[in-house]
Amino acid sequence: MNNIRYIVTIEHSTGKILGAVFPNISPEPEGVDEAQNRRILYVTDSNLPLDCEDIGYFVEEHYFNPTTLQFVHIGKPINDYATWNFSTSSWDWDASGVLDDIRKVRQNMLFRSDWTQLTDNSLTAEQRSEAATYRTALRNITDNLGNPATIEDVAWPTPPSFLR
Amino acid sequence: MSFGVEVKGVDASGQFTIANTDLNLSHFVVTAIGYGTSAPKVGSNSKIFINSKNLPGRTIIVNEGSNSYGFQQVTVTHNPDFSTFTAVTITTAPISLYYFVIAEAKSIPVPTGSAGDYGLQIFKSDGSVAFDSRRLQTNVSFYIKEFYTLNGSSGSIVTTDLNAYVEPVGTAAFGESRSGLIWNSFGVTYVSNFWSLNVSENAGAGAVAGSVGGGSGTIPPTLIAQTR
Repeated sequence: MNNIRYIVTIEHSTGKILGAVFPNISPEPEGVDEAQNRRILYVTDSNLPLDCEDIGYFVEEHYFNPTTLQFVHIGKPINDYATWNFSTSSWDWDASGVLDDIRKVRQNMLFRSDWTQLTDNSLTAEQRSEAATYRTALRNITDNLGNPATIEDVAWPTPPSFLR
Repeated sequence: MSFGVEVKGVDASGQFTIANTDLNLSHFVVTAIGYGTSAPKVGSNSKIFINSKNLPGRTIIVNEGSNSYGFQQVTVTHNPDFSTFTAVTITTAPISLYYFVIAEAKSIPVPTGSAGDYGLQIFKSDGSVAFDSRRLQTNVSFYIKEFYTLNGSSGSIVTTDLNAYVEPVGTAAFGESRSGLIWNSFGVTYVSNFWSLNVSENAGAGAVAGSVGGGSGTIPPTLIAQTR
């Protein structure tokens, strides 16, 4: 029998690897739990993908194909909300999660520029107006946004020079 | 030595004693090592060490439950229509980390049933067990490689070793004060204390001016460890 390298917990419906531990004295038995939520699998040299000596790399960049019962290298998820779809060979993700992240970044950008709209700062009226335009663009950032995968995919407005 | 096991070795300097077991096995042993959004606890007086080198830039907290540790990343957001200093909210989401857990060997229960039928016991002169191999959970050991001393200011660099595991001291359950860790490309940095889910800006504590920092809480001494 091959030595166990990792004891892996897999989301049964998607094949996503939820976590892995090195062998211990009393490992959970292999198999799918009664609720069909997760599968425990022992990974040995015979089914460990290549170059997976790093347990984090193995968990983060691989999925378990429930059809072939093999681990497959997929790469890093496109965002924190992504799940690999074996039918389409592409990532699916929760768009509302990405949208929440975009809003959080937007709120912080607005917060950092709040001071520009106070009357007792050193900005000229023209600069204050420029900042107001920038802030309006930020507030409207979620209009016609499409389905961005990451925050970096968003066309953020360029802040005025005094805000950079 | 009247009881226990003594192992002797020889090198160029002559004979030396490697170890003896005439004392109870009361040291810490590694009970779990892995990668994921949570880690199991076995035994008492356990401690966890974490590493998030492959997901840098996240603020991390560790919540300790009775049977496990849970790992979460923290996002600090300012409320756009704030009118008071209670202007900040914190949201959390699970995050995967490298981890290992240690516990006092004598607190780890001996496996029951057939799993407990194998092992090595060494007795003391009074008949008590000095060593029981069934309390060893893994074949991994650890050592303390650095010690971060009290600095007292947020943003302090805890270690520049990206491969080190850091003791997440100061973390606590939701609703209590807690601190976080940030892994970046230079190492591990502490951030300030957070105060419950709705952060109240309190003399510089909490989130300030759009970034996490300026904490007034003190950062306890921190162990930095490595496995082998």
